[in-house]
Amino acid sequence: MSLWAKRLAWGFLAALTIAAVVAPWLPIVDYRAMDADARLLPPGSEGHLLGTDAQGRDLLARLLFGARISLLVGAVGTLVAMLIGLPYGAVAGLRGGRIDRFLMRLADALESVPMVVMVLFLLSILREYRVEMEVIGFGRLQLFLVAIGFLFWLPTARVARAESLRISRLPFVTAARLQGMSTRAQLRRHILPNLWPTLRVMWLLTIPRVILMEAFLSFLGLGVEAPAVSWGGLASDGLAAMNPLVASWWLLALPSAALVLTLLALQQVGRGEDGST
Amino acid sequence: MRPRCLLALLLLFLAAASCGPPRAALTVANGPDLDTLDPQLARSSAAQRASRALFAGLTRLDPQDLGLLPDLALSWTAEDMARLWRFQLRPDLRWSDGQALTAQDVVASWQRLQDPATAAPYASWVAEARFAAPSPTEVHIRFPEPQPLFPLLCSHPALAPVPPALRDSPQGTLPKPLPSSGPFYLLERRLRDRLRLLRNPHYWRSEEVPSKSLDLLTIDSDITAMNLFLTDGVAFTPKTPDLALPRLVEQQDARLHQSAELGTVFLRFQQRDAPFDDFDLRRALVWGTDREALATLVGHGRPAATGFVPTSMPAWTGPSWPSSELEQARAALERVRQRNQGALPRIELLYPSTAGNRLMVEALAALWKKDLGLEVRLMNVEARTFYPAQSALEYQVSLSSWVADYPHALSFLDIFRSHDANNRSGFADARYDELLALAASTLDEQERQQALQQAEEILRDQAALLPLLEQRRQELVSPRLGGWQDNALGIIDWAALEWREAP
Amino acid sequence: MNARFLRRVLMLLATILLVHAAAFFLMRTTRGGPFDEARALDPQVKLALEQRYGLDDSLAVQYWHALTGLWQGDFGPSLRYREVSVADLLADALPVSFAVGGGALLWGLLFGIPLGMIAAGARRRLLGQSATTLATVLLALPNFVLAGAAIALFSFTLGWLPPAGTGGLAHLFLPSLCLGLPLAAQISLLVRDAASERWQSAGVRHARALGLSGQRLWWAHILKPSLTPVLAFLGPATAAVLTGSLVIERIFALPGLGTFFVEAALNRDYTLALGVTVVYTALLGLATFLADVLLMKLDPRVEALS
Repeated sequence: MSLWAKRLAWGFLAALTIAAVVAPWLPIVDYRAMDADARLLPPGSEGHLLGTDAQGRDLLARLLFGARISLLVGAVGTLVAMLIGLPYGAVAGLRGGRIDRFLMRLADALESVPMVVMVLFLLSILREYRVEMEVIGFGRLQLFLVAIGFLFWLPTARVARAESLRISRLPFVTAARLQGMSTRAQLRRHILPNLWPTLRVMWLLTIPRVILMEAFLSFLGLGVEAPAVSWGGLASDGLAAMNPLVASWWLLALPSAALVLTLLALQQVGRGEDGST
Repeated sequence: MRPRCLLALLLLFLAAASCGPPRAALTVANGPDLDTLDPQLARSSAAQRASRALFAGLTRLDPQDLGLLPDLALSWTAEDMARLWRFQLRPDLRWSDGQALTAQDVVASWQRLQDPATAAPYASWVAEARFAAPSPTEVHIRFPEPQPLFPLLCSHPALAPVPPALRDSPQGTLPKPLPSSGPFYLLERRLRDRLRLLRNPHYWRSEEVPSKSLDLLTIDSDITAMNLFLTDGVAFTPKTPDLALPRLVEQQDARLHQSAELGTVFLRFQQRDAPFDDFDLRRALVWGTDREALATLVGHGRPAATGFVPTSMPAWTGPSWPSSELEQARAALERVRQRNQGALPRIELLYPSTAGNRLMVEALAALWKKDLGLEVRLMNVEARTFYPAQSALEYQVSLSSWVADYPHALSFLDIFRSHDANNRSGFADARYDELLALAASTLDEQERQQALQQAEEILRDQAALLPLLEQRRQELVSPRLGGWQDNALGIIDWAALEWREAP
Repeated sequence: MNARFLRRVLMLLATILLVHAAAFFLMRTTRGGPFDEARALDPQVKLALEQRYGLDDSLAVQYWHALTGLWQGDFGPSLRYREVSVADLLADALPVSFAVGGGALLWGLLFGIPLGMIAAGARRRLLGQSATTLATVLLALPNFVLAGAAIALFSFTLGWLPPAGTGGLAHLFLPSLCLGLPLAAQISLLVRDAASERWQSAGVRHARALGLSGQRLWWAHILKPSLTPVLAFLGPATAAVLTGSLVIERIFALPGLGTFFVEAALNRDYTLALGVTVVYTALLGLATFLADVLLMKLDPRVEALS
């Protein structure tokens, strides 16, 4: 099965990414435009293919622009996580011994700090310096991406450590070490390049977790800054729709479906050739 | 072996957790958890609702028209230009544990409220007062300045007498049991779950209280509260989720009770520094904001505000504020542009992050963009970061709201006095302060109203703030809940409520 | 064994100290305090409150107090719940979280292991692939969507279960299910991978060649060894599940521990936040330790490796 499923998944992701990238130039309604006369229209209404929300904003447009944010948060957040976790884990695995123990113990400890404490701290620090940041082109969204990526570097570091431990015991690396190659050179020449295949999979598998984390933060009201929207934010706004009084099921169902399909596709793509995850 | 052990352990947990209390005669949702059961410390509306079920004041408000009624006091009189108030207590008052409740209790309670060590938020109400209890049923309170509204304040839980056990217990602890003076007493407090209350046989009108027991449930999410309400799990929820409102309104569902609330949603301008020290910029926004459109889009039943003090305020007729006078607004904006070398300043709107607030500022941004061509950047921060930033004037425009403590315009206009801790905008006007001082002390109600109207005119003429919406109380009330009365302060007469059998 | 045990305990203590310090300083350098509210407190009142809770001391002094409190097992009073100590809050919330979390573990194992075995056993057929897809969907749904769907189905459509609140076993059913399903999905994926691997291993091929089949083959040669990764996973997962989940607790109005991890930080309830952090760290250490012990019993090679 996996071959065509994988192709399908790649196709879906590619189409979604393209749609998200070109969304601003598509002939769709402004996703922020409110319309008091078109509130809570069900999918299939004229001019609003997927219906509207309680302010009359077009759900299709919001889903497309939400894709921009959710995919961006997923991809860049994960990238940030890797940029921090990778060197950390690689150094720990390669040096071993006391340094390894210290680094991993520190990682354990940081992992136990409640996530929200971390989020609030990061957001508050980043906000303190937002004027300085803006000078170098760092807006609110970028700050958010860094903060969310920062939450996920620990698992990356762990995987990177295990892999670099394995690689550093391979004969050619041992040989290099015995010949007096410096740690830095070993890292650059042997460890990092060989980490790449593992990381590719890791990257694809971390994206869904980052996207879900953004959904959770949106649930708490700490998500991306309005008027930008994300799928998680849309879904958590639609949560009230799950009862007999609110018949606007599409406000919850469609963003959730978008999330699930994308994450399914990512998992399919990230799966190894043998079907293992 | 081990898995079986684990299984047994898990089942044990499940069994332990499954024994819940039996259902109370009346169960209502009471919003998020109480920060305190001490009525002198209560701030949140949830805590004040609970306080009113437990503690009676010297006076109370009629839940129907917010008129003043006697409660623990039988009568009261003013002397010396309302500097001295004499309260006559009912004879034979008792705490729920049977101890006598005397004038001495009232005096000791107010002294506790006054004490800085208590750290009571409403301490300023009796800050410079002196008290006496000439007889077990007579309380005297003397203020250095006239306090014509004092009996009104006495209906607030903060001024309700607290039991000796609470007064004597060390700071930050609650006595067990906690004696009370109101229609109910506390049987059990299950943190973040519920308060279980029983009818207080010693309350002076306990024969009129129909419910034997009362559960106040802690429910953080309004959606959850609505779900429980729909399955008859609770008889009342204090807030209806926004998304449910259109349908309820459209179907004219009788369970939705919408009533005026003495509150206003507004924007504070930080007018000490640029860019909002510029009168024209403030005026452009005050004139150029289409409040009606805003109310239609995100009001969810809340009407557009016509001024700072809400129209639902008893006895209030405030000055009318301009709304969507776009020509003048654009002209003002043009003047700002010219002064700023042809560019409009960058505006940042700060707001505390909740879903409702986000919708509101999104709508504002969309309206300003459409009507004025003004770009605004939105910036949300969580509440504990928002309020210190607002107090420290570290913002340009910020979303705010205010709800009256007692049904008088004074409770609103008070906060824009130059040095009020709730001013938070840099607005300072000597004439305004004078008018407020006059309003607080005059004995003539007409003079007070006039002074307050003039004060609001100052706010309007200086474009000191931008009123947006009037608050609405949007409660879900079961048709089976007897004795319910809607009112603008959200005061629930717990002594009258009753859960009736389904017809 | 004893020396290793001792070392682990010491390590755990060191971790707790480190976490405690990290949480303390992260929180205290974050903007805003516990008494900053919509309705400004009188400056005098605020000062009195800060003095009462020692928030006006220098950060070093406050840290010292927190540290001595930790040593004495006393986290002090909560800053948000005025009359309640952190110990009381934890004591009230832990049983609820344990009950829901225990239920979630049950659901996780009850659904996860069979689902994983089906996925492995029938991995070339539609049935097995559906099992895998189901697990993936469960992992991809935000848990608030899952909870909303469960309430819509069981409370509103079928009317079988209460939508929220506490009061009996029926109230625990939905929350533990919603907390347990993602767990089941993860367990099923672990079981599936391990079982597939076992299926192709020399031992199983040998056993099949000898004519062993049916229950015995599946039970002794495939299922049992496949549980090793599940056990390793269950260590941290147990700690996470037993300490609850904010989303589940908020949607089902449960007074569990999970809410504290978020609310304490949002409310700047420093003492409570430190309390839950320490409890979580201790639970995590304990659960990982237990899982390791079980693992060693099940598979003696593990000891040799580590």
